[in-house]
Amino acid sequence: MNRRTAVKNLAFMAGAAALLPACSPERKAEPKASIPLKHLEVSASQEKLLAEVCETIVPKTDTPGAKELGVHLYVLKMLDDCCAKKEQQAFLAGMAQLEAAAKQQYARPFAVCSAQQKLKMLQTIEQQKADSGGLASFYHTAKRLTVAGYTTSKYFLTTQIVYELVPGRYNGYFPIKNIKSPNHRNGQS
Amino acid sequence: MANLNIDSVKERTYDAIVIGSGMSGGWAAKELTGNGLKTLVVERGRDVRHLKDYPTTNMYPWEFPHGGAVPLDVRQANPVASRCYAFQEDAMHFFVKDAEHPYVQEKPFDWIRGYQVGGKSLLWARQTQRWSEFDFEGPARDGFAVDWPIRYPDLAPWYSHVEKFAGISGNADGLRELPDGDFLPGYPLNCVEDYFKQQVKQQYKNRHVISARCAHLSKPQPIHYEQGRAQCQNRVLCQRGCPFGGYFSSNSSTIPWAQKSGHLTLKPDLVVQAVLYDEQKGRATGVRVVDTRTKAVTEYYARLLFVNAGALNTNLLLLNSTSHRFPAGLGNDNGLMGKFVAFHNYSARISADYDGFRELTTDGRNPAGGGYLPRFRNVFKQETDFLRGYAAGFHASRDLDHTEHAIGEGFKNSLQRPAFGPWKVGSHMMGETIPKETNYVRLDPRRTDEWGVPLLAISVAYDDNDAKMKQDFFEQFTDMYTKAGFTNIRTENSGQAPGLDIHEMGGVRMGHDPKTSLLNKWNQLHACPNVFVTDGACMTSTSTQNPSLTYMALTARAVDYAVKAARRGEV
Repeated sequence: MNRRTAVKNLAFMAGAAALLPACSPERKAEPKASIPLKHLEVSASQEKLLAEVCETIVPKTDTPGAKELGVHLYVLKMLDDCCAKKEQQAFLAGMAQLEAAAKQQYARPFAVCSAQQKLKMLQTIEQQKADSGGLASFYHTAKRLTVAGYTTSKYFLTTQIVYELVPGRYNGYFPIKNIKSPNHRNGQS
Repeated sequence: MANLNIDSVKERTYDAIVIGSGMSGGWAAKELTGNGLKTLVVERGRDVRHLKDYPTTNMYPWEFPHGGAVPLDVRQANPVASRCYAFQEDAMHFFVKDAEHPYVQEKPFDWIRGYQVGGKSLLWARQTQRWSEFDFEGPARDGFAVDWPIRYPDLAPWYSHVEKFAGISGNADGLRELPDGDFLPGYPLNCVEDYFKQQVKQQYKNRHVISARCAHLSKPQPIHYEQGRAQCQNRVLCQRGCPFGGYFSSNSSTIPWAQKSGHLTLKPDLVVQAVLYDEQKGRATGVRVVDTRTKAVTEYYARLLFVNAGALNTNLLLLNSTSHRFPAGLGNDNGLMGKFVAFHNYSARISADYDGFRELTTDGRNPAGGGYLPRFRNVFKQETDFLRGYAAGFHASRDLDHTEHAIGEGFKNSLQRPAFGPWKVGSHMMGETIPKETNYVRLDPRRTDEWGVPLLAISVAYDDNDAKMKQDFFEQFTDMYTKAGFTNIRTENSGQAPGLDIHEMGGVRMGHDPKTSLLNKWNQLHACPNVFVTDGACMTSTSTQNPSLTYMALTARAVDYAVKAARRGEV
């Protein structure tokens, strides 16, 4: 079954499910994403792909990467709740394009490509402008939300750049050389 | 039965009623109860108790479901509120939702409201600059609106009175155009803000950059500890409500103070439909309210009434308070009520980069927000082809950069250890607008809200004077920025509608003459002197300063007069 047929079938099945929801309750649908979503239809395998995209942008090193921190779930939630329908559709379409490109280039799903292959694919897209559509718009949205999710995660804000809820001070002439710990945020919000 | 009825009326009778619990209503409550008057404050919104009802105040960024952003469905349901900079996930519960309180935009107007105990005093930007002699003299000198019936010396002691209690931080800058007050220590400017201050001083004779004066407790005094407030901890998360009481709000300061007096009755969830007028007695007698939860209609009575519903809602309420004597609204004999509404023009911004001070950054946060440039145009004499002028903010902060066009390990490292980019500087214009008869609010003739009150129709727009002034702001600030060596200068015309400044004023203006104004020099309705209006509705002109401090001072002054007049049996 080629991809086009698969998409058609999917569309047919979605339509049938909408029209006749009780017809085949035991129908083996693809497992859904692991978090409840209000607007987006995201499958477990799409979630997995996204997790790998986020992990490629912010990989595990001697500190946790995006996947371990659940950043991909933040990306999904933000996409679901805060982005316009058009942006959501472009995101899903671009994600499908990425999967297709992985199959074309490496004959396997993106999620099981090697780290090197994933990095190479995304680095190519990184050089394209966000408004060049399709794959690039998906990627840049994913990157923007990955950066936001990573840098506002509890892990990041308690161990990397420590967020201070109560700074209790202001110094407008603070020498950068006096920043003792690299984990010092200087009380900036 | 008769006795029961008399008892019921007695129970609903107070010495004074204050309509609204926001910035000015809170002050009316504090001053009236401080004079021993049994005072009822009616507030249309829900109760918000200091400390207890600040649900987000101690939340960390990662505890917000959307990292602080407002979900799309909320933004789509609230196009007006969403345009306000403070309508974010941490404070959106303190804003009026568009659908719940509709109004009519005859011209585009973003009406930002906070219906709760404390009103918008929970959410304000806390900038507190005094007016000067040049501001009160403006309309008379330049021939617009009507002459203010008061001058700076009339208000100066009342500025001091409210500054000491509220706690205003600022420096003694010695400027006639922005008088010094009774200040707590000012917040310091940072290195680039100080640098700009020096540059402006060297290049221009009558232009000044000062530390913005703000309602934060930089060094609390006994009077502030007595209010249960403590030193500002530089959180700058004020819009959530402050657990330290570090900034002034009705909730942290005036309302609990009034409650402590034992003379305050605070009733939230009551919308005032009308101020009641007794033809025989020739004075206002009370208010008719509807309970927003039960829809029950009740009347409350008092000898003194303070209308502090918020500038445009005060117009709405008085216009809706009709009687045989006042068919066009309470005190509206001249038909000018609702007219000559004005605001501040906040639609222009400028930003740039500065390459100096690479070795320095800031540590902690500045609640004052940075620098302030008092109005320098047309202050001492008319000198441009537009009337009046603008104040402006000035703020500098160090940019943090991560690597662009990269992903993977190196990119991650750059997020963890961002490099310091250049300093970014910016200013926003705060322009005086000229009150005009064509800028008005009125009652919608057909539609009413859930509580039987007509919808407010708003017809307010910019004019040529505003456009010329904005052009001048861009030119002058480009010039000042250029002379200071700033680069990459960018001007931004935000195109925002009036209202988003949240400084709407007027409609029930003060003046000498009952033929051309609604209120006298004591903020009394000329035609109904036991009704006082001391919120933004009373403003004859707008000047450029953030108005809250002036509302507070006018309120305290008016209460002092009202109490003395009542004791003399005059009202």
